[in-house]
Amino acid sequence: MLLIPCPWCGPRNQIEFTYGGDASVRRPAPDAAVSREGPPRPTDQPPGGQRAERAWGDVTSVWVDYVYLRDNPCGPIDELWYHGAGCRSWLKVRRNTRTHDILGSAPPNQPIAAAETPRDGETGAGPNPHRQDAA
Amino acid sequence: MTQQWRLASGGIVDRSHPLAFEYDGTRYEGYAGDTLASALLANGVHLVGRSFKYHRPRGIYSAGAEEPNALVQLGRGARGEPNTRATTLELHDGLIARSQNCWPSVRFDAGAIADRLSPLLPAGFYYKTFKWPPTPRWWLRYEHFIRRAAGMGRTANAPDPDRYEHQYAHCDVLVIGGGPAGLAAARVAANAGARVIVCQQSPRFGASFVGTDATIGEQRASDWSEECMAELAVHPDVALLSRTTAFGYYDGNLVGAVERVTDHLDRAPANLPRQRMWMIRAKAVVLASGTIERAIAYASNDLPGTFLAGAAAAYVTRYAVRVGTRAVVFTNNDAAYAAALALHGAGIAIAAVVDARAQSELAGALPARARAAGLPLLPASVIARAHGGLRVSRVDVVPRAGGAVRSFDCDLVAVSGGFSPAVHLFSQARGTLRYDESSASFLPDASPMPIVPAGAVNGRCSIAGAVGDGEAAAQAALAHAGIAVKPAASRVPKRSSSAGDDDRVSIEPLWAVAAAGRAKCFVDLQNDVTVRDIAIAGREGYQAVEHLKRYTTLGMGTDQGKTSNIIGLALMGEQLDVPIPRVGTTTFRPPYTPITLGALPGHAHGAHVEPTRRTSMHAWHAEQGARFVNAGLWKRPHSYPQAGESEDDAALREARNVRSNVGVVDVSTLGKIELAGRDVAEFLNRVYINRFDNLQVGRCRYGVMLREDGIVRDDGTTSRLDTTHYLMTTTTANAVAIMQTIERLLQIDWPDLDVYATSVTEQWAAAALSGPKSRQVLAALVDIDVGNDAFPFLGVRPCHVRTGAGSIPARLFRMSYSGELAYEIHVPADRGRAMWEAVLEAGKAFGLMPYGTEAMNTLRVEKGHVVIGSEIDGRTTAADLGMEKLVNPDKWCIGKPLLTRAALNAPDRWQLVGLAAARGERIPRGAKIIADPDHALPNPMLGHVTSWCFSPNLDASIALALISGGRSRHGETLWAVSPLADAKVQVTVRPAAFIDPSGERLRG
Repeated sequence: MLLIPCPWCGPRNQIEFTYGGDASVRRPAPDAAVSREGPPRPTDQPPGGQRAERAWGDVTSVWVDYVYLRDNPCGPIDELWYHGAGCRSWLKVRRNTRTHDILGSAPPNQPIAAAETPRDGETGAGPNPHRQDAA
Repeated sequence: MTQQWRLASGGIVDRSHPLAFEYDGTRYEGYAGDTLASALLANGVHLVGRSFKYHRPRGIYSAGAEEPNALVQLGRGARGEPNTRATTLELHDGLIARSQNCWPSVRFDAGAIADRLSPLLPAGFYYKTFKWPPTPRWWLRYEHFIRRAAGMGRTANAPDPDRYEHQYAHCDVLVIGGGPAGLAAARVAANAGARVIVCQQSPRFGASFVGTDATIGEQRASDWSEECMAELAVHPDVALLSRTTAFGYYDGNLVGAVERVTDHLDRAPANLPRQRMWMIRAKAVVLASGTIERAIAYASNDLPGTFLAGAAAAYVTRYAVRVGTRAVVFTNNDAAYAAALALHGAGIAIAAVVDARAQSELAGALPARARAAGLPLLPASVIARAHGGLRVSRVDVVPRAGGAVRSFDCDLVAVSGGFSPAVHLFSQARGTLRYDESSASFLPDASPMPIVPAGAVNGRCSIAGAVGDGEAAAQAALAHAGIAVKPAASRVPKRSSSAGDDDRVSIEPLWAVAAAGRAKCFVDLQNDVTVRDIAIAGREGYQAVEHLKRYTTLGMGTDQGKTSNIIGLALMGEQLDVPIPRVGTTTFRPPYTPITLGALPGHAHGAHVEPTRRTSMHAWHAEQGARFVNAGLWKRPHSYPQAGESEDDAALREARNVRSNVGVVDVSTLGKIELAGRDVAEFLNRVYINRFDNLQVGRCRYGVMLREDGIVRDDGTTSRLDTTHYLMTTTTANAVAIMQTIERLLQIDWPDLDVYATSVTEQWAAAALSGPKSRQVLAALVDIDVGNDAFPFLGVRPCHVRTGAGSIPARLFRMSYSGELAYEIHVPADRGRAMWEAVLEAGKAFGLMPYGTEAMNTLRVEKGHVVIGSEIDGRTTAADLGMEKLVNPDKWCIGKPLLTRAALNAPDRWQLVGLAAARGERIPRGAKIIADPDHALPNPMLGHVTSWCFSPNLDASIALALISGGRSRHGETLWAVSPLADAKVQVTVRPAAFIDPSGERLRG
């Protein structure tokens, strides 16, 4: 069970929270056009490099991207959580999807302060201080 | 005479406290302090079960949680528990256990034919054999027999009658293990002022010292541990949990542990749970879990009377049991010599100490002591084969270099192939392991989590080494926990000169002794995996360690290969000619040992799986004999049957009475959210498909919310109570989710809007008064003018409800779900019942009856109103439900952009219609709609029935349905079919509103 640092309540058990998905996803402006504008999102790039046109019927819009497409990064991602059994606030939590480490949190519209270097970071292995003692 | 194998003195057993128990129908006696295994051995019972696959006789093998063989069926009836390890089961008076996997008895087992057939049953035979013929039907036939033949004990068929608890705990340092390293670590952490929890699997802390002459510095080890315990006991922030197994390590340094609170008692106090599951959130963990001894595979190494060397010694020293008369000790390391000396000291003749190592390797202190004691040492030799029937009787010993076979008669074989550190939790903490050649074992390497291994698990095998390591580990753990560490003086000399304090393990790896012929050399005793099976798996390509496990079942079962895994993977390494570290280990998954399923839910079973929500009027409903149905977490009355009336008849009567007179229904469960602020109107415009900015104070309006993808999510009414004060209602089921969405929109997406949202579902009790006479009832009940002009349809007014005991402030809404003239009365929740009874009193003169959810559903189906879960099914748009006119074309709202997709506007979309059957016919529940019942299969489906009722007011079976292109089919005749009910009924498609389609009744 994750220990989630609520910016208002401190570290609390995961069971008090509801997951809210990728925090970087923002609803397009109400007048956002139905046809696609701007460069393709990275997720549209197949490994071969050439971008395949997705078959979305008549709609290939930022709205379809917003509702249906999510990145699935390996590593840190900012996510939204809702502290429903606590302060009822939404918060932003930075989690490493590879290690499940929580790297920091903030109110939803504030940046997450550069957390101290996580014990694990990207490597999944770190020094064991006790082992040095044993050596 | 009982306990004829008990020694006259020594051990932790209390000879003044005899306990009677029953095993396989025979009564025996043991002592307090015994395990079932030690008590059986004290009575000379070695044969305790039959093996999983070959039904070979098996005996007690270990003295701890790693036991692969001695699994017994415990208790009877609902408390029956299979696969209980006799080696950890504390004896209590009246204990009842049976052997498993044998019929008719453990001594004569019909299933033992499998041992003769074993050439037909090699590794993977299951996968190779039962896939033919390749149809599932044959597998289903095989499965019946396989399931009967396989498996060990029997689970209880009745609900578990015992009680389990959950306990959350927080600490600075959690110490797992109560041996020398654990106690030393706990003492250092406690003295530094840390909050400490110590878990110990067995009943006693420091039990490994009992009966040994081990010393720590100048002190006897048992005195040292008692001193530690006494010191820890006075610390208020130290919790000592014995009989507690830390079974898993989880995210955020959360350790799960199960405490067996009353399992060891013959009569459990009523106030105590059977077991308690601890969820311990620790800032740092000291893992002092010790090591597990492993075996060496040789032919017939599974005969009863074969023990791990340390276990044989433990039965002698800890439980004072003579486990045999004449022993052969087989080892590849020095530690077994301590066991040999212990056995010797208890009067067991040592026929030979067979050591695989060369003479020159036997220079350590322990072999020297054995030699001095006159034990016959056979260096550079191995046991090639054991002989015996239901117990070992003789072993054949051969020199490793070859030569004559020497046979030794014996009834006890004590084997040691080395020690495997219990790294399970370290590995679960994402810790990596390193293979240590000198001890031939996997040791903890590094973990990103604050978990510090200490003692034997960390390769510090001597007592003094473990104590020193525990103290150092505590310092590291305190640093993780952010507690300032005073460099405390160790109680132990840094380096003791005595031989027993040497951490160096003298061992030469030996995993298996090659066997000739068909003899079975067991690697995994619990799953009957032999050396040959490993070779077959390797030959057939199942070489990766996880494949090896699945193909051979090595390391599966209740013991998860604690004594065997490393042997199997070492043999695979030998076969592939790769070093052991490259073979790797299988994943160490929780739980460490099997845990009782009841401990996992704790109290959360039956009615306590989730909270129960009751309205203010619940007690009244119950007094009227209402049966309750679940609506989310709420309990709602289904109907109010009168004497001699069925529930269905009651619901029909209630529904009829609403249309002819007046009824009242408890609607307190509707979600209620108060919204306040300057921008509520703008906010509502964004979340509802229809406009709310032109809603006047004192009016309410029906609104529909969409999901982001344009599908209908929820509906309800929102009232404007004042210029900047609104009350939104949601469906009962969605109340929590909608509140969460509103918070998200306000906190993240539109923080600029001045809107405050508060859930008030629980704060208000609500009753809907419905029927042509509802206004008359209301006039007698409230203190405001309720005439049609003063209080028109969709009006909202504050008022007071008059009761015999004073008036209650209330909010009055004129809205209708039933299609009749109807009102909702909301009062503060604590006045709910008073209001309800006042309504009933005022309605007496008008034929008022309460009605339940069943009648409410009938009324809304008659009116063609949609409901979440039936028509609002996560696939329908507003247009599908006939509400396209509600979608305001001049404003944006959530979900609107994607509503433009062509597929959501196709003419053949499933649309809401009503269905009517001929009088006397019944539309089947959940029916599919088809055009032609005689069409060849597959018969194209046009749609399905979403809601269904018998309409008492139309005297016909009616339904709401979603049908492809439904609104263009009004007047068509289709078929509603239910192949499951073998029913087909002709239905006429019509508009959804069966009653008062123009809405005159509710406006009148």
